[in-house]
Amino acid sequence: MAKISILSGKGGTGKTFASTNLVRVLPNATYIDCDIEEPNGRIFLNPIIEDISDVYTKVPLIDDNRCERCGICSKVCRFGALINLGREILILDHLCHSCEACYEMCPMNAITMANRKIGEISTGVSRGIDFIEGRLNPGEPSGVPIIKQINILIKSIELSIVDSPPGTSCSVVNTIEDSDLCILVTEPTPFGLHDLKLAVELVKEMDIPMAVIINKSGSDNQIIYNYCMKNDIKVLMEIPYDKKIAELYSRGTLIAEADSTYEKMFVDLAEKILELIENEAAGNSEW
Amino acid sequence: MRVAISSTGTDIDSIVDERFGRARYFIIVDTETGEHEAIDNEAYQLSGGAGAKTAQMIIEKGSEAVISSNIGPNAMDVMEKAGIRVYRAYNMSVKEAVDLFNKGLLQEILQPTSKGHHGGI
Amino acid sequence: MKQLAIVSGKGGTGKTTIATAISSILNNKVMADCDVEAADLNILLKGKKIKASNFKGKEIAAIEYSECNYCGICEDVCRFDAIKDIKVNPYKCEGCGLCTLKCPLDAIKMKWVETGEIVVLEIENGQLCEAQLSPGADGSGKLVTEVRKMAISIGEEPEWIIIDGPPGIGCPVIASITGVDAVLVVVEPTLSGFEDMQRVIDVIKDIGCKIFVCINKWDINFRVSQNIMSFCESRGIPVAGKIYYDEQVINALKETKGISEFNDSDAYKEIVRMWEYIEKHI
Ligand code: SF4
Ligand code: SF4
Ligand code: SF4
Ligand code: SF4
Repeated sequence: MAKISILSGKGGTGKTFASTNLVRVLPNATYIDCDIEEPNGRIFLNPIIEDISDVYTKVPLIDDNRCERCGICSKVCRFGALINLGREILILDHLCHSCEACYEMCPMNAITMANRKIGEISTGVSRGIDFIEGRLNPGEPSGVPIIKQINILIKSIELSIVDSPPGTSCSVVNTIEDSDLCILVTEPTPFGLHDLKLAVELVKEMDIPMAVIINKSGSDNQIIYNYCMKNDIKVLMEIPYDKKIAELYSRGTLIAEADSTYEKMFVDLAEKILELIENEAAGNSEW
Repeated sequence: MRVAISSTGTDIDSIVDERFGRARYFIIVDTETGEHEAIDNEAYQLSGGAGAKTAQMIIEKGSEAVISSNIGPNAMDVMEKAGIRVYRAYNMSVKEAVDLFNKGLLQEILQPTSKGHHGGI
Repeated sequence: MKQLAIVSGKGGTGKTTIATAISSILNNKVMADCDVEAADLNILLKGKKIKASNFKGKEIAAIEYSECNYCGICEDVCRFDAIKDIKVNPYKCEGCGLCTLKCPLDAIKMKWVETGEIVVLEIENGQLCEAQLSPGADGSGKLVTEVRKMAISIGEEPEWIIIDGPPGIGCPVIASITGVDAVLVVVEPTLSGFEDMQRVIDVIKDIGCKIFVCINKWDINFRVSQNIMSFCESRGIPVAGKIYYDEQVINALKETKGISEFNDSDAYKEIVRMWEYIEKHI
C-alpha cells in the first residue's frame, strides 16, 4: 500500500504530464486525479469510465412543523448559511460548511442533515491502468469532501499516483495527507523556484518525505539543484525542454507510449521512486 | 422608512461604501425624522458568508431598504426573501444618497452586481 | 479608474509575462497580484517593499487549559476531527464554533489567527500589491478582496488597476473578477487549455462583465487555435491578441526580465497591439 502525490507550487508545471506518464510505466499503479477543479488526466489516459458516483455534502433541512422560529440556528451558524427572516429560516446551501452546529443546537429538534451534490467521482480503466477522477461542480466553494472520499478509496489501493491540485491550499493539504512520498514538479526559473519553496514548506510542515522533478530542464537547472542540496531534497529526474513534448501533449498523447527514450526515462523514475518508498518503509530514511 | 446605507465612516457625510458584505459600517437613517445611527458591521471580516451575515443584521435592525453599490447573490437572495429593496449609489456621501433616495432618483438593484462565494465583494 | 483582471483556467499560460508587459505600458497604475497562493509578479517587477500588514484570515478554536477538565466532549462533537487529545489542529479546524457551544466549562474561545501578509511595493510608474498566504491556509477569497482593497487605496488616482488573477475557477477567482470592468482570459492552444478556458468563461459570464481572450503561443497547435477562435466567435467574445511562440519570452524569463525589456520582440509588439485594442473596446 503506497500513496505517491505529485504536486507543484502552481498549475501548468507538468504535474499531470509527469503523473500520467509515470503511471503508464508503473505496473499495478492507479492514477488518481485529485485536481478536482481542473481534472485533466482523462485527456491523456483516455479511460473507459465504468462507474460514476455522486459526492454529497450535508446541509440542514428544517421541519417547518417543529420549528418555532427562535433563530438560534441562525445565530450559531458562523458562516451565514442560515438567515432568520422572522417568518421563516432561509438556508443558503453554498455557504454551509456542514459543521452541524445548527443541528446540535436547535432546541426543537427541527433540523435534520440532508445530502447536497457537489461533484462526482469517476472510476474506470485505461489500457490496464485503474483510473479515478474527482470533479467538483463549477462554482462550488470547496472540493475537500470529494478529496476525503477519494482518500478512503486510496486506503485499499496497492499503489496510488495522485495528481494533486496546484498551490498550497486546504485541498492540497487534504490531498497529500498520509502520502508516503510527495514529488514536487518544478521548472528551473526564478518563478519555479519561488513556487517550489512554498510547496516544500507545506510538505515539510506535514512531515512527508519528498523529491523533485525538474521540468523544462536546461542550462539553468543549477538554481533548483542549489536549493534542493541545501534542503536535502533529491532531484529524481530532468525532463528536457523539447518541442516534441509540447506537440504530443497538445494532442493528448502520452510520450512514454510514443517515444522509447522517454519511456526509459520514466521507467528509471519509477524505479527510483519505488526504491525511495522501500527505504522509507524499512526505516533507513536519508531525508 | 428606515434605510440602511453601507458606509466607509460613522457620520452622515462619509462616502458610501461600494461593497455590501465587506462594508465597515452601516448608517441607518429614518427618512421621516432624519435621525440616524451608525452601526458596526461585524460581519465585514468573515472569510465566508459576510454578505449573508450583514443582510441578517440589516433585517434585525428593521430596515426596509438598503443603499449600496455592489451586492452579492447571497445577500441579494436574502433581501428578496425578506422583502427589502436595494438601491444603487456610488461616489457620493451617505447624506447625498439619502437625498436622492427621498426624491426617488436612485436606481433599484434587481440582480446581484457581484457574484462571490467566499470573500466576494 | 478602470479595473482589468487577467485570468486563465490554469497556471503557466504566460499570464505573468502578459501582466508585466501591460504594467510596463501603463504610466499610472496599481498592479494587484491576486494569485495569493503563488504571488510572482514581483519577481519580474522587482519592486521595493514600502508597506506590509498582517492578514488575519481565519478564526479557530483555542482551548484555555486552566479551565478545562479534559472531558473530551469537544473532541466528540467536532465534525472535522480537528481536536485530538484535547488539542486543536489549526489546519483541520474550520472555525465553526460548535466546540465552544458544547464545552460544559466554557473553556474554548474562538481566536483570529494570521494566515498571510499583504505587501505594497513601489514599482516603475506605480505600485504593486501582493499577498502571501501561509502554506495550507485558506480563506484566500477574502485575502484577494483585501489585496484589491489595498490596491484601490494605495495609488494616487491610478488610471488602471490590473489584477493578476489566480488559476482555476474557485472562489479566489470569483473574488478577483467581481466588480471589474473587463477580464482578459489567457489561453494556450492545447486540448486541456481549451477546456479550462471554457470553464473559466462560464464563470465570468455569470458575473456579466466584458471578456477578451488572448491566445498565447498561437502557432503551437493551429487546429486548437482555430477551434478557440470559432468558439469565441460563437460566444461573441473578441480575441484581442494572438501571440506567436517566441524564444525571446523564455530568454527574458531566464534573465528574470520583463518581455518589455526586449521591446523589439514579436511577443512584446503583439501585447502592445493587444493593449491598444482592449483600451479602445473596454
Ligand atoms: S433553532 Fe430550530 S426551532 Fe429555532 S429557528 Fe432554528 S430550526 Fe427553528
Ligand atoms: S451545518 Fe453549520 S454551516 Fe451549515 S447551516 Fe448548520 S451551522 Fe451553518
Ligand atoms: S469540552 Fe471543554 S472541558 Fe471538555 S475537554 Fe473540551 S475544552 Fe476541555
Ligand atoms: S471550531 Fe469547529 S472545527 Fe474547530 S475545533 Fe471546534 S468544532 Fe472543530
